[in-house]
Amino acid sequence: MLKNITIGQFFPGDSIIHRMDPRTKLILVFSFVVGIFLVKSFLGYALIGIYIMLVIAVCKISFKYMLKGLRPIFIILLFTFVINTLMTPGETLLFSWRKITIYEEGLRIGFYFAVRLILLVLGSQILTLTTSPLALTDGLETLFKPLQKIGLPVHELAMMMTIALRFIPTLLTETDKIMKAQMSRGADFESGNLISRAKSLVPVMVPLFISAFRRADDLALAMEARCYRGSEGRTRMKKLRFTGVDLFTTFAFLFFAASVAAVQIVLG
Amino acid sequence: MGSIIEFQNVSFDYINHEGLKKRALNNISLEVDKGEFLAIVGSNGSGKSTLAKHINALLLPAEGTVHIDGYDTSDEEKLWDIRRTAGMVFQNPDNQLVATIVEEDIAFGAENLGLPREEIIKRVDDSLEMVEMNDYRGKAPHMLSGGQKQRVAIAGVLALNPKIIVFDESTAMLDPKGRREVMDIAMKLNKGGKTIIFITHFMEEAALADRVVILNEGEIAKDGTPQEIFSNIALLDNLCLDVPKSVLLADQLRKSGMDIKNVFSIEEMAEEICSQL
Repeated sequence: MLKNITIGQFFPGDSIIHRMDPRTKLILVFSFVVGIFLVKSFLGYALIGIYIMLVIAVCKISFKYMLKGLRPIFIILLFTFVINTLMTPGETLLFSWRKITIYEEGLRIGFYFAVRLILLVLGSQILTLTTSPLALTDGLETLFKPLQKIGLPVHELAMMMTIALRFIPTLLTETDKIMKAQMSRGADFESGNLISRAKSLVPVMVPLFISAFRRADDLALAMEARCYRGSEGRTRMKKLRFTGVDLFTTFAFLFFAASVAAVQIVLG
Repeated sequence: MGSIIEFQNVSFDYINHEGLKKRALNNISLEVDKGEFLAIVGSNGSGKSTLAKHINALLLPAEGTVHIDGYDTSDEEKLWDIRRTAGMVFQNPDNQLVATIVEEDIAFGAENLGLPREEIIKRVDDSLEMVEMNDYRGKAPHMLSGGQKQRVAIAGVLALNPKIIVFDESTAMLDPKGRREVMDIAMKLNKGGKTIIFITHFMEEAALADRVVILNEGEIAKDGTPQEIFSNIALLDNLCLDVPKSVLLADQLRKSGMDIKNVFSIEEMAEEICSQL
């Protein structure tokens, strides 16, 4: 169960996408996310789908692995699709049974939303799978640096994110261990309704939280011992630099975007 | 050669959850010379870790003073100089690595010092070399074994280029192989001129030090060479500490009439016995 969570897991590699500056990647992914909400045609989405597959192939990340990341959002996906399909009024009636009516427009909107969600997750996964979390936070930190002037603790937030990402695998392993320990004492996580299942997780969460707090305490001490004192006077080993790779990928992205826009306009 | 660590009549109290004071260190005076390898042993709650945390000003004495390389640890102005002079490797290898990539974690301390980029890279390279973890520089810490993680933690401390390295029970959570790796590195660093404070539960490790201090209930119970300390079986038993197996063996053999010296490693013991036969 816990092995399916891929968000925040970095897959080291040496592809063009891996070598991009995290700032470029962040900006492009952000534009991508905005972009997919502007597209309103099947062909447009098909084109984006092809481009996404192309990028995934370039990253050399297994496609199966990417799809695994969709599993946690499957329920949301189904829910969005069904609600949108059923709730959108339209003109062309496709199906009607008692109070349930499905219009062509509804089906279309439901489909669009589902596809948007899938593309959204795939797009952001490409970002998190090809960017080391530290590079990612570095990118965010530099991009948001101007906000420091209005009092946003940018460095502190970035540091918190790095640490959270660093401890995800550790805490997952720990959760697994605690669950097994409780199962060996007769705990049952699998039967019963939703409420009793949620209740049965209490004996997992309590030890997990206690150990997480202990870890936080230890880590704070270790960071202080290594002279950590916030962003003041701190330098970085890895300096972010825009390179030819960034120029190339940005142009490729603009080309993709333009082709999708063209399809959209031509099809009206 | 002056002393690099000086404790003068240091006392420290913990305040427990009932708000009561509990004395953790009581009137400790201790001097450690530059380049010395000092092992500190003692049972649980004897104040070992509390003492260690005084060395890099994570804790400040309630009474008395601590001087590290001439700096008074209670001088807030010098806090960062003290921490870069005395690095510390902790017990749990998981809870002291900050970054998600080995080399970035090692760079963390050097980055905090505000060093120029080239210097950071050089220090990361040197530190990785020292702990023989070059092949793992791009790996994620959670993929490593306990001993490897602890080597990364040591490299992270080395990147601060400290004169003193404190190992606060750094071997307690490791398997025998990991323990040996950490001990070997500690000894290698000591040969390279670092002052090492090695806090441990394992008497076999302490026996490899130049000098051993036994703490008991916040006080120094005994301070001497491993030879002096570990020959005194009655004292160790009294303080609920393990006696190294080789010492026990030597003791038994002596009782049955053989003239055996106390040695601490298995190889030396074998040689010692062979030479008597």
